[in-house]
Amino acid sequence: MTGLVAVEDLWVTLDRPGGGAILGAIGLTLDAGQTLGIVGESGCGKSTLLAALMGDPGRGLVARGRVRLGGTEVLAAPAETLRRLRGGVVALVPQNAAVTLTPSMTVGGHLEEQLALKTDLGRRARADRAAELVAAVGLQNPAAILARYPHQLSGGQQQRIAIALALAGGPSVLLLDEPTTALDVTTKGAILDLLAGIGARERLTMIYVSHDIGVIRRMSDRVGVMYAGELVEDGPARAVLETPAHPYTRGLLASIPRLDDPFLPRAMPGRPPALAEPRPGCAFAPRCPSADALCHEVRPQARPAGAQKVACHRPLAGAVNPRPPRPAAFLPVAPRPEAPLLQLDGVEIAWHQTGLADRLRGRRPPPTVSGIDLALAPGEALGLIGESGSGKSTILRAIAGLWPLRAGRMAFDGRPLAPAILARDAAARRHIQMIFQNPEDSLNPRHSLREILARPLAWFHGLTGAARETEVRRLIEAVRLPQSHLDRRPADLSGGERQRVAIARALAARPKLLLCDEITSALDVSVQAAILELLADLRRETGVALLFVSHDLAVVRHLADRLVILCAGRVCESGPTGQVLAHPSHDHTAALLRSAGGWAAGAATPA
Amino acid sequence: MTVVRAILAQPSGAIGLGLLLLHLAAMLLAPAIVPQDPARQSAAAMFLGPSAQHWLGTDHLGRDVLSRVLLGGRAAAMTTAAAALVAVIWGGLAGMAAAYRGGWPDEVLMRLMDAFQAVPWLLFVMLVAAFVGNSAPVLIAVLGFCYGLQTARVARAATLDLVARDFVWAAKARGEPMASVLWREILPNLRNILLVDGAMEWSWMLLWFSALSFLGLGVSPPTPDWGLMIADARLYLTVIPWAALAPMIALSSFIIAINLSAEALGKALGLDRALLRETR
Repeated sequence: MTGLVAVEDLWVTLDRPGGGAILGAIGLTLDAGQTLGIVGESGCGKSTLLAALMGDPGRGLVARGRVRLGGTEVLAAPAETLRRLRGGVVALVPQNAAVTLTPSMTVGGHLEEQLALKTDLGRRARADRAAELVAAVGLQNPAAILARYPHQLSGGQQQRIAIALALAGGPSVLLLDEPTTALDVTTKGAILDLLAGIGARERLTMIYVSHDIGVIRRMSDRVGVMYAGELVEDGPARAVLETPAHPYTRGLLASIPRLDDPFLPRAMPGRPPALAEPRPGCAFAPRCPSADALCHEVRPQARPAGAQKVACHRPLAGAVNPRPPRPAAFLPVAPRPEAPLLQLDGVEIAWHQTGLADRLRGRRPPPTVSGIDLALAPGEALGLIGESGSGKSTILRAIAGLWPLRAGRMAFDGRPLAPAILARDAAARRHIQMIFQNPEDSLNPRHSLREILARPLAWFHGLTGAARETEVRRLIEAVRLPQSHLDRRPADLSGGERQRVAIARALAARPKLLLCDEITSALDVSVQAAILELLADLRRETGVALLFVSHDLAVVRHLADRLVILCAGRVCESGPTGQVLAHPSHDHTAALLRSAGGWAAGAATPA
Repeated sequence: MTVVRAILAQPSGAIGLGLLLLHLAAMLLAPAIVPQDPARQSAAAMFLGPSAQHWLGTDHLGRDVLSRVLLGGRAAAMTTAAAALVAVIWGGLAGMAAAYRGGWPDEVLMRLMDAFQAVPWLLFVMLVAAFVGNSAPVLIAVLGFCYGLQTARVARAATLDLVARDFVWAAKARGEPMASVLWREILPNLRNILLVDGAMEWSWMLLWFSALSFLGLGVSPPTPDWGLMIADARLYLTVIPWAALAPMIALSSFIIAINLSAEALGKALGLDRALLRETR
């Protein structure tokens, strides 16, 4: 076993007798200058793997096996060796730089400290090196940046500083833990370019962990797929992403929305097993369409299949199957612009409300969005797209009656719509329902699902007793959850199940319009696919109109009949979905298209 | 049941709860089990030491100390328990409503809380007790009001966290009025905090209520009371130390029992300690 990074039969288990495995039988080898992308859904052990590579799998965990970094055995190394290894040979770029930087320390202070610890440069040389590092991560005017505190930097700049800190000790291996997940699409692109450039220049070996296949595709020579703590597939990026051999890889790829695919992404049934639970056989077998008796009994070993290594008894061959012809949710409803369900005219909203101090000084905070005109036909699905901070969620809240307008008018169902929810009549309240971004936050942790669903039924329809119970059961079935869940509380459910409950709660009112605020962005891709599928079905079944807010064009593409693109608080483009995607007329739309989540086949193929 | 088990699993919780139950049982049963009439004075039995007839001796008026200690916590415990209930109800409601409503009602409540932090409120209670009288309803109202301001602070802080959460926004988006959002969405999440806070306040109120009695503004003679007993016995501390020590030990062990139980309850319910500590 050679190579700069060599991992052999690595296990991470709970630190108690008979403790279950968090990571099992991981083996991989990387040469200098290679980039390995690791994909997998949340909770599959990606971050634990990075921690184990740094020699410390985490509290309450123990690592067994062999991890060699540049000739040093990591797991057996004494503390002093590990200390020199970290930063000097291997360095980590964390997901969220903002929380890893000390607020009371300047950028220069951070770099100075790191250089003093990890190099033997003198004081002067350290200052010069710090400026060099800041320049190397693409920041203008290093002297000014060095004097700043973390809060004086933008998110992208903070992430660049985190990269500079990782590079300070001159490592040869860089571990990246979702370094762009918290960033805007345009910033994300710039950071990825920077990392690719530095990697090539310094011949760094990189292990890039992400759940974003688009990013992985762009950055990696090799791709490893993790499931339930195991590396189920590993091979050249192209082979793994285009001719995946493991059924899980296929399912994962099929569940990702793609801009170039007119069909809805396909959900995978079931959910990943809890880690650390002992199990015979293949961890994916319960969800696998091609599993047989052998798969349930014998744990598959990694072995070559095509260009890659696969831990599967029944590896598949050939290119990714075409998706089943499941048409997108377009309704045969001709938009009737003369009778819109919802209409917004010249709407202006400010996220920051005018405070007393502002009023005394006679000034108002700038509006978050202004001059917004929107029209939505009954039964239509409209996608509202924009980056974070573009004001798209603010617009939804205003329509829901939760945020005041500063200017403009709204109309619903042919009648003026009062901005404040309490000023609206019963019909308007009932017919506009909102689903929130994070189901963890939108369901009361103290209520059972039955209580959660019963409330809107009592409130909007005055249902009680047996009639209400019947309706509650119908609702939970409508979102494809078992009735046995009704006595549970939200904490007992997975993220996807919670979002289904939130959808059921909104449907309880029998609304004409559903406002969806990034409702899949807090979920894993396979779950996201299932939620999108559910929404498309519900739309067909109930004829409800959708106003779907997202930052991701690929997610909305399958649901929306029309798109409205926001930038800097204004509508910069709108039109039928197909037309906007095929012929974007605004630069911003084109930029969004290029960076759209998921991935477009053939685009950005690594050279 | 699981909560009780979680309290008993903590050593301090088990001791606190055991001690608390012992105290409550003694208070409940005291009228039936006291060996002597606590009010009967006897010139022949003054300043007696512990004996078979008077286990804890007699005081300067010849009254049986044990009987008086057994009965001496009842008035204080009941008055302060009622005051704690008043504090939790009005403080909880005011804090919740202020945080939910925002604007000027919130400002008024906040300034009131600030103002009362500056006033030595024991003085305030004494003034009210001196002018309006020290009947139980007055004491319950005034103690309940003062401590309610503290509860309001806790409830307000917890509610401020909750009103930003989307399940509250979802209820607002249904067009539900304030009372219904507070009752259905906020209160269920506040219940545990208010419970523990009320228990903590009970223990503090006991201390201060006994101080009032000690100063002659709480329980009036001839009702036996720990604070009063300590006040009476302090003049004869060198002659009959048991007459002062017995009520002191009874009072402090009762307060400690409530405090330990409340803290263990908070831990068992998984409450954020910082939030509770914020009050004092």
